[in-house]
Amino acid sequence: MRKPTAVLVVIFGVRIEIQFDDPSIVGRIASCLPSGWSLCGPTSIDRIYRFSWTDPHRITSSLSTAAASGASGWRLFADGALVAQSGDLDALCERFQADLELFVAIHARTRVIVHAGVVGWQGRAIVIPGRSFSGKTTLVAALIRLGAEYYSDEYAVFDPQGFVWPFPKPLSIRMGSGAREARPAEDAGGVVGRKPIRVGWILLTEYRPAEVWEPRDLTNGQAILALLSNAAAARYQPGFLLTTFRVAVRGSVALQGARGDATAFAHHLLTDSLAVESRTADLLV
Amino acid sequence: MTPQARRTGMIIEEVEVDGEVLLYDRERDQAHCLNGVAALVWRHADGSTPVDSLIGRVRQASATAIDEDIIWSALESLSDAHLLVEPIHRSGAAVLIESRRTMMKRVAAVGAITAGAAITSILAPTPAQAQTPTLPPDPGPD
Repeated sequence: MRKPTAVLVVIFGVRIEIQFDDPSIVGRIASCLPSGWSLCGPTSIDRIYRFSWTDPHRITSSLSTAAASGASGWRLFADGALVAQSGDLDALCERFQADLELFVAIHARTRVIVHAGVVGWQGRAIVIPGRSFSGKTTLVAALIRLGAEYYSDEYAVFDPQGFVWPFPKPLSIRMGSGAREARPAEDAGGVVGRKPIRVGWILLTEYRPAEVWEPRDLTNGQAILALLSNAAAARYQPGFLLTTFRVAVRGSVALQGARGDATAFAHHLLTDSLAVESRTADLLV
Repeated sequence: MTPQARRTGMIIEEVEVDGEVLLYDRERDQAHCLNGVAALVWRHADGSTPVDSLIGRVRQASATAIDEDIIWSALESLSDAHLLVEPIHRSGAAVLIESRRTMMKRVAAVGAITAGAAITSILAPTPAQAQTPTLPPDPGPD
């Protein structure tokens, strides 16, 4: 059996080995890696992925289940366990990307990753933590159309000094069918943020039709809980997360409330609400 | 009664504004934010100070006047949140406190931020709960 090619990368302190039988797919795999990755040398590895093309006529015993289907196709393994199989490499890459991002979100050593949308505004970050279907992407798209800088529609990436880093991926727009479509932020008239910035505002909000934005203030401690409750590593590295969040929320304003239409809300936010809150924050610092 | 703050299995972070204290309970994977009063009560609950003396010490340490009922309420909330080594309950009926059942409801919803008189609590999410679910590969047209 041919020895697989391997690439070693490090992402936020997490060391990943990616093996593949077919070197021609390396470019496609590299396109799945999150921003911030770099190559690393031989070292202790946290997780090993393997992309394998399986021919039913040359099946190995470890793939007996797959062989039973009699189909050829791609298979993705993580630490030896089958994660997904598909005849479509792109579909498999999506699963790889999701699995890798979750693993890194849990085990990151140099960054804290929060499920949140982020835009930059007046040199500070607006962080919008929230679960799926809370309307984060729609709101982020509306904000960047109004001039906010795009940082991420999915992850807020904090360093230990409390700065938020860009994590630009194409906006993942949910279509009517529930499927997602990736669209570059530039298509929404957006400018992508390039440098790490401090947190200015944390918004705990979700879409409710016809809702009027009447937020309540959260304390710094409550804002930290809001970030923690959207962090995959919460149960794994709570001390690291709490320390990072404590620094990150310093001098920020945290608000909680339901919002209505994203475009109207974004306009109100940038032209009115945050301007007032910003002045208040400046007085508090 | 000599209430004692639970410190074993806890991660403690102090937040600068308004004297808040954050506690992460590793045994239950719950995170709590104690407001100023609750934090003061928690700090003074050393296991050797009777409640009457503790009330006096908390009042002394506070910059503002604190009603005795509020301190008792904080003690009850700390107890209900499993933040004291031994549970504590004030005898007598004329005290406004949250029942344990109410407290457990408050922390039951993952990620839901709910505030009581003194303590805000969440149940920390599992990785899957904190992540956008990935849709399976599109099977294509039927």
